[in-house]
Amino acid sequence: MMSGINKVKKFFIKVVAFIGLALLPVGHLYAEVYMNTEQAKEVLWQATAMSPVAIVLTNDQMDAIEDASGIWVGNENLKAWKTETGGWFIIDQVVGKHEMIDLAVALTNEGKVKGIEVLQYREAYGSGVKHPKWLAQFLGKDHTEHLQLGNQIHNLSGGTLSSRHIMEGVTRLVHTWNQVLRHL
Amino acid sequence: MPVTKQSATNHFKRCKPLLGTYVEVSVLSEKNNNDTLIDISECVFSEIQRIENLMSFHDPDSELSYINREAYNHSCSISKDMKEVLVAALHLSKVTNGIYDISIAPTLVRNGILPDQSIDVDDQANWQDISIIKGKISFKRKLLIDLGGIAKGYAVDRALCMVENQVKNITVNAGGDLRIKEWSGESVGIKASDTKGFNSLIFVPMHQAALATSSNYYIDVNKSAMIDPFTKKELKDKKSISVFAPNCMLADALTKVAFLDITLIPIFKPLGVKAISIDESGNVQDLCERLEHG
Repeated sequence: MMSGINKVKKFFIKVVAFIGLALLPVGHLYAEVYMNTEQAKEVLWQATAMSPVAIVLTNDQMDAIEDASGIWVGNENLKAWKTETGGWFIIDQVVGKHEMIDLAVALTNEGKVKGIEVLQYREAYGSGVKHPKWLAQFLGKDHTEHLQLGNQIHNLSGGTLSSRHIMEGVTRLVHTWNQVLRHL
Repeated sequence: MPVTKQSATNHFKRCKPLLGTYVEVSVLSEKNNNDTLIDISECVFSEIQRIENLMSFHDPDSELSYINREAYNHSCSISKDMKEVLVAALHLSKVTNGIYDISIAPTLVRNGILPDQSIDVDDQANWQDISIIKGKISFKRKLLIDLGGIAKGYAVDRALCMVENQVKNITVNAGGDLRIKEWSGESVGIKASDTKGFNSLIFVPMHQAALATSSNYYIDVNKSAMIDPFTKKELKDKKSISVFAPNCMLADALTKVAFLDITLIPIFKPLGVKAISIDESGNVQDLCERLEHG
């Protein structure tokens, strides 16, 4: 059972997250597509056979993962494949203050991180326009739609952007393995 | 792999979280097949991971953490990589009269930028209290070294040099500290931040093989990773400074020098160094020219 406190906490996290997303300026988007799901499977698991496993986390499971990892679980649907060796291949998405990233994570049959690949990297650049539906512009898209800059940029420099959010995402997935995947 | 056919050449990019940021490897090759290109990128990421394992302040098991714990108590043998970075850092400290100082870590710890490792430090200590003799390091006073302002550039250099002979062109970009094998004719988008905190991209041509940019705009407004070594105060300037240099370690380190005392940058001009600043309005200024012509 999800406690009342947890429900309230979750609601507030969602409200704050939505407001935060809504206030983010959208002007330009730097985007880079590195590889697709099939290519990531090949790089992370080579020829190891794997099958998709439909996983919808229950509220209790999401709470348990949040409690264990200290990281918000924003999506109950897990895009996961189980390998013939008992390992896992997971496609996930993390959203930072400036960036949104699709990543592929390989976990061993003991729940250890085998490898991480960034599939797509998107970073927003503001022109001062605040757009409440900014997220819809690129959430879940796998092409360079709505991009004003796209492939024109070959290299990008600037104050170093921390990869903290991606590491939080991986931590969340490791705890997801411990709470859920290891029992499947 | 995401290979783009470009007139009989293979091109692909790959990205992994390393060095606390996103490391991107872009490879262009005329003859290598995809599997070879994967192997080449693996070599790059492995080398960067190896350097990170040696020089991370955050990892208590790194060689740097070992030095920070032990070098005051006894002289410690150091790896070839550590020696190369420390010797370069101390040389920069000497040339810049201490403006560049890898011993400012205690201030960064106090400010919450770096983790507290519960090591006592002497507030009077500076780079002159670091001694390297015959491959061994010792501290004359209790201090903490942070290589955050130089190790990333060194990792980029090492990784690129390891594989550059196997490909037509390669770019290694560690969160904006980048080096390109064939850099002539390449351009780069440099992030800039205006007074309202909105970011934009300014495009400039590459002037050298390596480029690094320093700015505070991804850091919490109340915290800065840039510390004046003399006043120990944080620099909260919103501008960004980019330094082009023949190698990424020098570019990385000199962005910090340029932030602290721009008049020192012309000293490095004979080495092929060029520095530009981008202000809050997105204006690009050549810092060496500005200093030479008032």
